[in-house]
Amino acid sequence: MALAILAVVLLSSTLITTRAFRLGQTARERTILADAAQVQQEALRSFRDNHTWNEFLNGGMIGGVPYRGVLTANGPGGCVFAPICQHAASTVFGPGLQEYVPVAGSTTGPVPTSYIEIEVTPIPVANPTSVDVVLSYGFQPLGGGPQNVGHIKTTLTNIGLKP
Amino acid sequence: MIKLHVLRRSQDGFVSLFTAIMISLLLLVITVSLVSLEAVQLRKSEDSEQTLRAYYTAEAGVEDAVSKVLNNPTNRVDQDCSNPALSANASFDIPGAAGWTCQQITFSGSPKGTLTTPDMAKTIDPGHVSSPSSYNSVIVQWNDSAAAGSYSVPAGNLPSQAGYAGYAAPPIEMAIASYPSAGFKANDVCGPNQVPPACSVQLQNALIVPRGTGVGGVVNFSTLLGHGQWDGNCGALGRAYTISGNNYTADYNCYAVITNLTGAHDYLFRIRSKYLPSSYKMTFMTGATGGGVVVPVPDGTATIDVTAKAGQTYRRVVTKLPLGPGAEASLNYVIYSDTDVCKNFSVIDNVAPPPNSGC
Repeated sequence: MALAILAVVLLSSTLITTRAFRLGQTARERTILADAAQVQQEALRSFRDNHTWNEFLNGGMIGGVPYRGVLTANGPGGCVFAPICQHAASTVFGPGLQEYVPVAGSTTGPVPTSYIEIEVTPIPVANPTSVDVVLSYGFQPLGGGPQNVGHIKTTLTNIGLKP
Repeated sequence: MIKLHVLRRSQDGFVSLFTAIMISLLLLVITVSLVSLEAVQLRKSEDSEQTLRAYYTAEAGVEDAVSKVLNNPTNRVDQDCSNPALSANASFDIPGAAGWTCQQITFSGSPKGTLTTPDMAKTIDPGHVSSPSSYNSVIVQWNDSAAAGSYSVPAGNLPSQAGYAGYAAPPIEMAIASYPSAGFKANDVCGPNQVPPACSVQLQNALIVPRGTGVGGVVNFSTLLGHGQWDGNCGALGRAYTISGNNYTADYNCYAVITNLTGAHDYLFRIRSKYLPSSYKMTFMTGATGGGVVVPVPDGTATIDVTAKAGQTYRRVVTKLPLGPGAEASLNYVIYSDTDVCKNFSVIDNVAPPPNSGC
């Protein structure tokens, strides 16, 4: 009788604890990934603030090396939510010339199986003065199950910091 | 003997059962604690993610407001939250999931800034303000430092620059030009020792010196002519004081109220910090002695205040967008003198100085 009770309690406790640990681990990893997603958002904002609006949209040159803009950087490569996507990557353009610029495809996040991708949509006019930025991220939670995903949406406008 | 054996086995069974229950209870406590901890972790993670989404939604609201302001350079009308069609966008993200609930844009406030070097001056030109009300006094606040030093300069001649060591707040010199709102002619300019109503355009100076917390900090505009130094109420940050019924907690070390201005006139202020750099703020009030309510004046910026919501989480972002000319953007070059100087304002081109100008 005592052994039976002990066995049932032990088994239930193990199952519940394992499940709780997985949930907690998923939550921790999600927080880490959301922080990485914020880095990507801020990198894109910094890219906007340090370039002309035209360069932000269409790209340009740094130290003689070309880079793409948010409208021209889209490409396939690990995109999950959209056929083509981009991410911000710290790129070296020469000695002392390093900054985040848009790069095609998604990027891996700081937790196993994770990815971060950015979709940029300009307002539908000829010369857009603002773009919507949807950043999506996800990963396979510990122990399987459906993908754990999230997204952050914001807008970047031509605020004329650079003429 | 058999009875004793049965009793002993029964006792053993009871002990085993009791031990099993105790271990079970212990495991239950540990499991519940672990589940609770992980549940807290899960909630924290969800909260931080929603906060992030709300923040970037609020930032999107700010960018949207910036776009509105920059695309309508001639339309400087305040936007409050009374009209949700203009000031809210609940469906910015997945409909209903995230959006901004209030996007406020104001083009006026209380001019403030920093005089970054000693003797630097700044002109504050609020222009003609009549809506929602004209102003009748100005609270001038300056210096927001926690530096050690005295806030009370002894009465008498102002020390020289070298002799001003040890004081924590600088004296402030205010030059105030007053002119009728309805317009004026060259002959309306006040000459030496002339005051209204004999004339209506005048330039007056007030030197406001830190005198500690024991003085009222009042500069009476109607008695500026021929007056010596004025007393500035100066002390530590965070102290409480009252001006004409309004209670304040000191964000600046010093204040003085320029009283008895009149809505029939417009004024132009030039603030100069002597000896030390200083921050400043000018708050325009409806009351004649610094009381009443604040009158916002154009301050050369658009203040954008957006509150956004994601799930049940709210975030608020307030930012200032520098614009074209405002109260602090004009007349940066004037003749200045620490001693007597003959000031001749050419109000209208090719008009000779008025006969009573003394020039």
